[in-house]
Amino acid sequence: MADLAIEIRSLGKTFGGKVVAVDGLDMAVPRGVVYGLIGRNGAGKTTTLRILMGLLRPDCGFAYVLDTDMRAAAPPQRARVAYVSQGQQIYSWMTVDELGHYMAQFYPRWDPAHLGRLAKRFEVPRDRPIGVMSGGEQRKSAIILALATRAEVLLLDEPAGSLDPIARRQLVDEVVDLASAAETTILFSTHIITDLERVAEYVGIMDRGRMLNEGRLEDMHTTTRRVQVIFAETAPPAGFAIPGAVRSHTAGPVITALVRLADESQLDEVRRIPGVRVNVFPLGLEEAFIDLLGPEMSEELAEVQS
Amino acid sequence: MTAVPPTSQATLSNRVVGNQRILRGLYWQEWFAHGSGLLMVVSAWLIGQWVLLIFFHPTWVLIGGSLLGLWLGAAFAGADAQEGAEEFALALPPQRGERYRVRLMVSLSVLVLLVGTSLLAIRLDWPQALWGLVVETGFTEPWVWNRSKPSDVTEAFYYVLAAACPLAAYGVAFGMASLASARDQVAGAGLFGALYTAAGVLVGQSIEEWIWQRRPHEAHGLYSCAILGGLAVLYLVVGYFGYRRKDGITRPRGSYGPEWRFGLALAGALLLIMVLVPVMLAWVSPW
Repeated sequence: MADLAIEIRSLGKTFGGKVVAVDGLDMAVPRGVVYGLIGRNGAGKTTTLRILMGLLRPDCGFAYVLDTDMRAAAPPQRARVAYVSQGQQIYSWMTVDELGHYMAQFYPRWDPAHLGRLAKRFEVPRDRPIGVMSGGEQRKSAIILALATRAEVLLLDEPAGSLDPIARRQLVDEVVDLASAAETTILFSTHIITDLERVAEYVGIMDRGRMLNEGRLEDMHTTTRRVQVIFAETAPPAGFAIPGAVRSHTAGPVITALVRLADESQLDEVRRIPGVRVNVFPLGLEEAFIDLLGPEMSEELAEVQS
Repeated sequence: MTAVPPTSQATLSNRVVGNQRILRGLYWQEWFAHGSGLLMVVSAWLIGQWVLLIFFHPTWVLIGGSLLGLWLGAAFAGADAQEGAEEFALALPPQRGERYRVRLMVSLSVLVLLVGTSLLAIRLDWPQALWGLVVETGFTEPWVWNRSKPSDVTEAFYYVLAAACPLAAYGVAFGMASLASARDQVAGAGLFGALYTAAGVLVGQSIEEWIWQRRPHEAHGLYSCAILGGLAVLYLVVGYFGYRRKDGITRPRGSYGPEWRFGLALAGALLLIMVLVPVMLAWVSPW
């Protein structure tokens, strides 16, 4: 599809024949959007980004960036994508300026003026070797170098991981700036959902190597609900399921479920059951994330909601 | 929230980054990473040969060149793994094959240049001739070194072997280091280089003794040098294809894959053979 910046289909990756990191993943990132990828530790986010960058070989399926397999792509194609890894270790004996000189040889849209501005904004010393910088400064160096490439697609793996709150905010602002210029597609993985809600237009929730939920953040807000169905009897009838339920938990006469509903009228059928009360609660992304990926929807939660 | 400044947009050029520009970047990086180390080694080598006249026999080139080959192979091919920066380096636009070839080009050139010129200089006695000029001017007196002339067969063997050993040590170390994904594996690559080179010499000589019933000092090196040359080429080719296929992430220390465990076991077996074979030959030898 021409309007996709990133396309992943049936992607699979296993390490050592035992650890399944990615398991039949499907994902689509339209051009020019900010896409936030969230998931618990070990969900397969980092492996997915590494496969996209051609650093790892998938066992099955494909992962294309700008319609290209980055592993086999020629340098001009590869120069359209920039990447900051989770534990980015860049050449410790080079300064930011020297790294800039090095990277400028490879990226046709390299912008030294932008690098200077970003270094000033993020307070990164450009003349000090990376090896003598603090962990946060090294992280910021990696990020500003990636931003200075002016690449069409930016892949950021936990970019705000070791940043202080101010630098984190600056990073988010920078991502918003890039997004507003509508030139760059940004795919970033994060645990910090508040950051994601500020910048992301699309969201994908991964778990155990699979995509659980993907779509526009706005749609997710409007369609994802926590629904509680309370029966008059002691237990719900056998085989009963709440329409659109992604995950549910039963505690006595109460069923609590995370549901995806295009329209709340889908619950009318449940409402018509005699003696049944239906409560619908709107959900923030963080709550939806916890409901979706948390160990169990707890009884306490069900009681509180009732 | 600040929009991207228009001046910055204007500076963006959509020029195509050509192959030459990419190669220039890669060569610049290699020089930047290893330049000072190379200058020190080359200076020490040249001073040793031309000023101090240490390298007066191919044996010294064989030993010095092998050590140089081990260092060059591990330092260049394993630079990113050593630094823990493979993920950064391999995510940059240059392809892995280009990166491999640039490193091979720089390090192999240094090795061939030093070993080749040194052997040539020894064979033609250039350092002595140079110093002879100084002696003739009357600045100093000639230094007489009582060199026992080796047999013709041994001499020919030595010159070829003195070139083959460094090449094998370098090739194995380079190939193995390029496959390394953890820091300690880079050091392991040097160890493999030394072991395989020594084993290559030993096996080659044993074959020659067995086929032609020659004594060790009469061996002509036909098999030794062929084995060493083959080892170098084999590991460089395996390294090239392995480097293009390997995972581009740095692993923690001690994470050895099955190929490394196999390599270590093989190296151990070779070490054992290297110890046992001379003992056995001495025991059964008719001479």
